[in-house]
Amino acid sequence: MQLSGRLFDGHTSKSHPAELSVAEPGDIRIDCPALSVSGYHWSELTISPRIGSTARYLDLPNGLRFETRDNDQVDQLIGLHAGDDRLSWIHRLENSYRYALLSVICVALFIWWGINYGLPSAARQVAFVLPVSVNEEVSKHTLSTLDKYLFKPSTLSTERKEKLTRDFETLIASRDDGFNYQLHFRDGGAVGPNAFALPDGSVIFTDQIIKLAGDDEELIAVMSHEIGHVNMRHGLRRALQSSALPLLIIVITGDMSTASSVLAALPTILVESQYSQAFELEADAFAKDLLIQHEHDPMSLARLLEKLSSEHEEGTNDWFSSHPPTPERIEKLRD
Amino acid sequence: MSQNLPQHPTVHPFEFHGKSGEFFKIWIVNICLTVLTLGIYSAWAKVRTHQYFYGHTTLAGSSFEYTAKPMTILKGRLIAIFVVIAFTLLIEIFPLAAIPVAVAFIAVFPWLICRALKFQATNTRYRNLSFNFHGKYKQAFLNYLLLPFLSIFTLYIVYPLVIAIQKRWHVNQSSYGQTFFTSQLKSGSIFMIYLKAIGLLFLASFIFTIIGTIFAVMLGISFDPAFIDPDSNPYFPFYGLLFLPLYVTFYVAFIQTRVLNTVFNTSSLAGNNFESKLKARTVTWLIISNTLAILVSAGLLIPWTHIRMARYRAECTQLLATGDLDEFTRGATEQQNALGEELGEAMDLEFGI
Repeated sequence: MQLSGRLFDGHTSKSHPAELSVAEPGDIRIDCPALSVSGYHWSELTISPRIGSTARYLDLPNGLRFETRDNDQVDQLIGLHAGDDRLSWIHRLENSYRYALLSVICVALFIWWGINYGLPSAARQVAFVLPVSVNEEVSKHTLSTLDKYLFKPSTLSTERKEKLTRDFETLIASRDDGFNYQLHFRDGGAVGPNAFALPDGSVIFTDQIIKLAGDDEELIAVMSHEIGHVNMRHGLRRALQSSALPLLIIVITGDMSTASSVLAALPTILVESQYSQAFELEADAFAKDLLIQHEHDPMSLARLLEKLSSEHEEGTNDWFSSHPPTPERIEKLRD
Repeated sequence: MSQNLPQHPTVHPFEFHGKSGEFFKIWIVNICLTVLTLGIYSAWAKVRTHQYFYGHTTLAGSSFEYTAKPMTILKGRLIAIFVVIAFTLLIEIFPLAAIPVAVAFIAVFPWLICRALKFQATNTRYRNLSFNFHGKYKQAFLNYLLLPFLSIFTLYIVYPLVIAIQKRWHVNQSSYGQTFFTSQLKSGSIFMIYLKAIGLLFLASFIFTIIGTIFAVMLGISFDPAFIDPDSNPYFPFYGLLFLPLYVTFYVAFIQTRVLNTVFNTSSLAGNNFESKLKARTVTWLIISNTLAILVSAGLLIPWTHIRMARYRAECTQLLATGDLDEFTRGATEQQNALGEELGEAMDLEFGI
């Protein structure tokens, strides 16, 4: 068997046409009119791994190099005369459409698993290991920013505020999860009827949601839901998940070009609404337990949800929506 | 162009022979192995991918070669991860440590740049000779920290000049074998590129605002007059901003391609000159169509987009040889500080040439 290629002398960029053949015990014979090379053994060669149809480099100990495109013959020679073929299986995988298809399936399954289970559960683990103070760090300036741009001072009467604050204190009285829960009242303005939980334990009710509620039971239910968001560290978990996802995409595809960094953001948006829906359901379940524990009716949350949803005329497309469909949530509260 | 060009330089085009189908298999198998080995294989994947592209790029009948060792890359990545975690924990526990850590990073940064450029150069081989990079700490400190910092005080007006200095340094400190590259890059030409880019950006936003307005007006007439009434639709004047990603892509592509062209066209190697004729328009189109292709194919066309870009880059580049390409000689082999080499890779700074 003969390999045809080019011989480099190891000192200059000049190459010479050459033929390489191997005699039975492994002695190499190089036919090159310009350079005389002899006395080498096949086992002294360092052979570059096979990658696609790129050339192979057979390096001799003294810097001499034989370059050839006869990839199949090189592999046959390695098989015949021994040589480092520990990594040759990689090329066999890379050279087959069957393994490529298998890889597509494998990677797709991994991505699906990572998005649905791996990433959320890792973020959950990390969020519960980190000290509570990290949650406070995340939302240090959030309320002051919201006050500046979105909210106006509440117009509720002091008695009303005090009554609701007492209800809130009762709910959190027996909690010792390290969070400093505090109830705030604001005029929501354009935000409308809504309630928010900040990662540090601040719970904000807009005047509008207080007016929308039929009775205080419904508001206590919303408080429990928001306490759930805080206790389950949803803010921190969202931050962890959304920062890890683009990173993961870049690590997997090994690509940080302009196009892909824009692209990395898109699946994040898609996936984030899924995560957010999961958080809502988790907070609902938390609220249900807390309400039962304090001898309230969990269905009062369902009543307020219905009022909110008729207010919002929510769309049917629940893939992009940050909240799960209301009927589904009510169903879960009823069970 | 250089004045000592002889009558007929031999034109050697760069050629790229990679195939999408072949690269797709390599790409997906490497991702799969990276996932299955929890990321450890990524170092091997990087080497194989680089070698695929280098090995399929030929000049005057010879291919380039990427010679980095996967183990070196793996060590560099592990060290980098360890350093980041260690410093994060340190700052978390002793917040005051942030200041010495920042100072230490600034002090090490120029060294890392030199290492990264050297790693890239020494691991690129052509005709059995390696490239090399000889830049030193002091110049890197000046070019990549001090000058960019000082340019803040000129409101970044002299920033293009800093870029020119960096590029000139990069080219002049690079060698092929023991032959050094030389750069005749004029600061003024880089300055003009930035000036033109900003001009084009203004022109483009102006044109697109007009187009956006016309569309909006047409919609307004046919559907809802309130649409173009600034009182009922306060967002109306900003519809031109919808094209913002387009302008930004073009702006970035314009600067990158023009700077790359200029750097190539002013570089020479022992009387041999380079020519790069990338077009910002084409590059913008490639970026946009690549993005769409990746979206539509859920990522499966990523390998195709890489092949396409590499082919275009090679197509636009050529070597105008006046001398004999056989006559370059190997430089003295120096033993590189292993840690530096590894960290240099971890920085993964992708610079021009």
